[in-house]
Amino acid sequence: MSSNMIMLKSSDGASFEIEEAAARKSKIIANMIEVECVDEDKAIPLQNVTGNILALVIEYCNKHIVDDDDDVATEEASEEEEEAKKKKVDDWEAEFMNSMSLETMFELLLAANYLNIKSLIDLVCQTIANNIKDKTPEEVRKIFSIENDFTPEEEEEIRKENAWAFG
Amino acid sequence: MADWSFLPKDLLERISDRFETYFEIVHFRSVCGSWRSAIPKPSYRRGLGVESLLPIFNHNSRFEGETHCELKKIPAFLLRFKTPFGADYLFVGMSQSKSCKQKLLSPLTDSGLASKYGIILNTLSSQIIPLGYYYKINFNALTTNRSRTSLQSYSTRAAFLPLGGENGTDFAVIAGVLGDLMIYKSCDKRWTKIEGRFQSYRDMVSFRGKFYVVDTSGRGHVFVIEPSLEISEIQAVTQSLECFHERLVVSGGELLLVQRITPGKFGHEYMHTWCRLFRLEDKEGQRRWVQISDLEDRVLFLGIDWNLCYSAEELLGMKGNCVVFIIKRTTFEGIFVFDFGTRKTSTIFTGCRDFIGAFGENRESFTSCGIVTAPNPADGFY
Repeated sequence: MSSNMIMLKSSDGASFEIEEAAARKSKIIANMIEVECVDEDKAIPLQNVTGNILALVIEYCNKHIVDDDDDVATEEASEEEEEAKKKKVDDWEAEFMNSMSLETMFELLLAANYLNIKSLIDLVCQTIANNIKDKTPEEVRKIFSIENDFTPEEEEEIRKENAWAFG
Repeated sequence: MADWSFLPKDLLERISDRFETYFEIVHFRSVCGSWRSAIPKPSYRRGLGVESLLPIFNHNSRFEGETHCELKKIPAFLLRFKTPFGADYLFVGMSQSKSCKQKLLSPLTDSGLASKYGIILNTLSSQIIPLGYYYKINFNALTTNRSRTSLQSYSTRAAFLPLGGENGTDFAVIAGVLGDLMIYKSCDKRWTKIEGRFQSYRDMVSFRGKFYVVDTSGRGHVFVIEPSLEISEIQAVTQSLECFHERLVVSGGELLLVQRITPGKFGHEYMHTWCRLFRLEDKEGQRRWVQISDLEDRVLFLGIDWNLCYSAEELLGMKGNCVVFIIKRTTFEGIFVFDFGTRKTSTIFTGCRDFIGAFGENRESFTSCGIVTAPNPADGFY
């Protein structure tokens, strides 16, 4: 794959240079490159992504483009090497997600969704699910600053839904 | 400011797809209106107890007339909740009964939690933490007792190993059946007796694609059984016959062997019990037991048919670096704690700050906060 560089421009006007191969992780950008013949001198404008979030997206794509290349080259790699490599990526992803606030995670999820980067959407959704799964609904509301907007009738319905009959 | 209640429906769906059990999904749609409308109520009760029928073991005359045995998959959960007396917790297991109803049990004592009218578990204000599954095999066999022969039902612990396969549903199960160690493989659809240099077995687990079985020699003698039926053994940890009870417990990525030594003519001086602990070391297929003296923050529960190793910090009132063991004999029942720090054994009542909910006996605490209630016929059940 060529190492053509392309430019991305965030909604707040910040420009980023990124390898085309990395940028193709985004289906939207890949599509733009193919269909619209991106002008090499002109930055692709991304209306819905701010600079600080775009920087994270690019960090993620850069990290994973290397791994994808490796995949092709390591068909003969031993199981152990594969495992070690996977662990390295997992560790990196854990650290990457750990370092951000919920607010950032929210923005990153929307950006990944807009740019259509499936593996990043999966990673953020998994992290959010991990944050939620052991908690009560009330605790989840607190963590995510969500208002309880149920009517008393709905509350009653929910109470019943959370009551389990055992014989 | 991020407004999580306005996440697009497809993203909410992707998040809820990550949950393993029905309870987590129902909790998820109990948070706010938009999450509730994005995620439909699951129709399939994921994460509840499942019972499946397997063919009977062999043509032994004691199984005459029997065609099947039952494999029970029992999920265990940790519920954590607040009561008027403070935070409390409860271990529960869920098991499917003959009439396809779900039974609530205490997985450590292996006894039912419900009264004869049933029980309602109210999980809305409780944390529900899945602790995985344990397995049992139930079967009937002709049994002669005082020269009278009758059909008796047996319930035995089993170890389960997923094998993947074409549809990802292949599995192997081992169980102790009337003194024989038997293996069932879903691809063969039949049971095979495992022949080896061991005569009987005390405990069995699956760990990293293999079965581990400890025999009753009391020497920490563990056999490794591959799904291919190849058997190897790990050198016993002791030569003497001093140990009374041995268990295998998987904790995170580790396999632990616990020896409980209880002195007395009948092994009944429980207050003088002490324990020894080993961790499996696997160096390129060379397996051996390494003695360890410390469980750190963890507490080991040795139940009747279920073992658990868990962080004590997550269990209020529980001390770390301890082994909790349950004695259930016809003449005596009790729960004890051995502390690796002080190397002393006490009863659960004096050994821990609170009487712990691990055994589901602290009914007052549970009913006062409404975590369990008696069924009300006026309520529609789901």
